[in-house]
Amino acid sequence: MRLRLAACAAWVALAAPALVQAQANTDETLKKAVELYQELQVERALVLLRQVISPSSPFVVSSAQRVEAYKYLGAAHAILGQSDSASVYFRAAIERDPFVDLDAQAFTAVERAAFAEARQRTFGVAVRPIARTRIDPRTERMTFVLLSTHACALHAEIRDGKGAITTIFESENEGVREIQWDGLLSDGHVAPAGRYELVVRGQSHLTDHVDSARLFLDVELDRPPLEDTLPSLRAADLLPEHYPASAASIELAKGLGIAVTALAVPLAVGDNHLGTGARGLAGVMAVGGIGIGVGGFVWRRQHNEIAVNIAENTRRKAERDAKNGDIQRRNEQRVAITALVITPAAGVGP
Amino acid sequence: MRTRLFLLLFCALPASAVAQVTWTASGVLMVVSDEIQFGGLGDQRVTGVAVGAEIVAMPLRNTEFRGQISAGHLNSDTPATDSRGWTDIQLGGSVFATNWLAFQLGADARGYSTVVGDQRWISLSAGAEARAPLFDNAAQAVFRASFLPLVGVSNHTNPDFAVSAATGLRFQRKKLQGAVLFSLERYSFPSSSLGAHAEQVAMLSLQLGVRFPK
Repeated sequence: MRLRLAACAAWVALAAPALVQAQANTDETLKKAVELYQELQVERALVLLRQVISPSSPFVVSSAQRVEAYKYLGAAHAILGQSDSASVYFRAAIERDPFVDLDAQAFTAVERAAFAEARQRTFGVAVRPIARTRIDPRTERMTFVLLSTHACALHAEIRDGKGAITTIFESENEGVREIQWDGLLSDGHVAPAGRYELVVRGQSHLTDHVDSARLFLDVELDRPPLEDTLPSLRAADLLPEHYPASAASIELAKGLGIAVTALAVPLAVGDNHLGTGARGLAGVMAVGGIGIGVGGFVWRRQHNEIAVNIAENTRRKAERDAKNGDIQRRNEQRVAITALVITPAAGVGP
Repeated sequence: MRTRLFLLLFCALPASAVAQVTWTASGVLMVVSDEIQFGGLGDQRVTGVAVGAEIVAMPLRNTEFRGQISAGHLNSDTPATDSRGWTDIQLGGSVFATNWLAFQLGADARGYSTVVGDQRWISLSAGAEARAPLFDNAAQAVFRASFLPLVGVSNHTNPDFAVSAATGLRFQRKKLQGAVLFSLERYSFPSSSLGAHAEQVAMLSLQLGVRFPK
């Protein structure tokens, strides 16, 4: 095990400088080729450029270096009057990097004409990578740089993680175009934090080909933290608003209690030998008590609400609603000053 | 001089304290049944109607003072029984320990007038009254029990045991206040050579009055 680790370490130690050296060699070769090209030693430049793009090249060639080599190969062939070859190399460069262009200061009209023709024959759309940007949606916009190699119908949209689509551009386009995004989604709200995808689709007016490009980006919200609203009142937080079913029976029992007590008093408190008159009056009271009990029973069945508790619950709900209203107002103020921090990302998720 | 001093003291009573007192003035209509067992004379009963008035003052939330006066005539229901006049003055105070239980102290001066002569009864009572709300507290069922430790009867031996009990309903609606109460007083006298002597007074009273200032 230790031997393997040591072998790996040795390989890294030996290979890493070689990799850097290889790229450095490609860079030097490319630099030399460009110098030769600028000195109009086109044939010698072609030799070096072909070395760079050759599959048998021993050196590592980056994508940018390859595009650069194709560009100069195309330009060299254009100078030599080999327009077909020039077109092939220019197209190879354009296909790899639609943003590639010829500097008018460094290339002749012939070269640029050949390049323009190659562009007409090659269709591609691209999005320029973005840098970390902070925008205030109220006053600022995020700028994306799009490109179509020639005239096309171009469509650009922002997709969130759930697939919701916000179209930010849909029009004819040719060449480079800057489009701006205000940080809002199609529902008019500020984009919540998360990962988004900018998808660009184009359909060539010349070749009818379709091409697309996409760019992943992370959106973070830069604002004071929001407050949570108060939760809904639970049953335990509220007072009972209705009497239990037994309440009517209790009312009846109270009335019957009067009746029973009235009848019992002459028996329990009165003298055993007396009570004729008392019992008569007690009977009247007992009848009244029964009437009161029955009346209370019926009345309670029809008036089941506990008015005091209902009022108190209404007060508690109103108090909660008022507090939540204040919280929502404060949150809205914070949301209104939300800034978006947009950073490049890789893939649909972390 | 004394009269002036009394008037001065009365006027010096804090006006605000008087203003905070809740008063209730009621008319009282009662049916009274007085039954007597006296040795071999057999049971005697007189029944009649009395009318009167009652004033209740509530100077504090948990105290109540009550004064009632009534007068009427009790007719004989049994042979060899004299009809009699009835006069009664009651004074009492209650302290509410809770919103449903009150402890009471009271004094009662009662007079019976017959063709033979007058008899005066004076008694002190101590008891408790429980109230159970009805109709969302628009009415209250009332249950009362009292012990009368001291009863004095003119020209007669005092009873050696006296109790009273009452039940009924009190109600109030806005300023209107009323009550229907049944009460019973029992007096047991020591046995004498004439035999056992017991007396009980049952009353069914209807009160209707107004409460002020609120």
